[in-house]
Amino acid sequence: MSVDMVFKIAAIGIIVAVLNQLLIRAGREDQAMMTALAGLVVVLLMMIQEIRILFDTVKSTFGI
Amino acid sequence: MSMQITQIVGVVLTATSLALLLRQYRAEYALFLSITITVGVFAVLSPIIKEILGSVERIGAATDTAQSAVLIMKALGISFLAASAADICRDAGESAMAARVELAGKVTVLSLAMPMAFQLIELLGRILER
Repeated sequence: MSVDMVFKIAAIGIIVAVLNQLLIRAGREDQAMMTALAGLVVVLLMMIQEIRILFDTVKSTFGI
Repeated sequence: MSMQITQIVGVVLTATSLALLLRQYRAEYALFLSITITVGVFAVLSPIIKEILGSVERIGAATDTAQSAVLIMKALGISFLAASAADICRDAGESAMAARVELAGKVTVLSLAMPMAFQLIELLGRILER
């Protein structure tokens, strides 16, 4: 589960970086910014689930 | 057990190299990678930690210190959460936020430990009155 997640995040990061570079070279700075923002939101939504899992596991393990 | 450590080392090294690659272009994804690794490693380790804590609880029950054993476990969990959050903040270059998270962890653990400190002082008082 974690390995898939790591590769997914890395792939999204690389794709966003490449798109960003391309759009900046093409002179579309505003769209490049939007792409970066969209990637960030997608990964943040994935991250929220992960953090919830971490909190649940820590709570059940240590009995907090 | 020894299988899991090789798996964890492999996954973490892969993630580290990916994070190093991503840091040049988009540094925020390196942060997400480290959060994911924290979750994943803890998910793998949690059954083992549960086993260890179960034996700590048994020792506590056998030596009539069950309350302290539960308290130690809670403190351990809070410290783990606070320390991993602080490390992630520090990796992202936000040492002030890391310090605040550590402060929050310390205060929480201290508030857990205060009743025990009171018990200790009461015990000392009873011993001295005798």
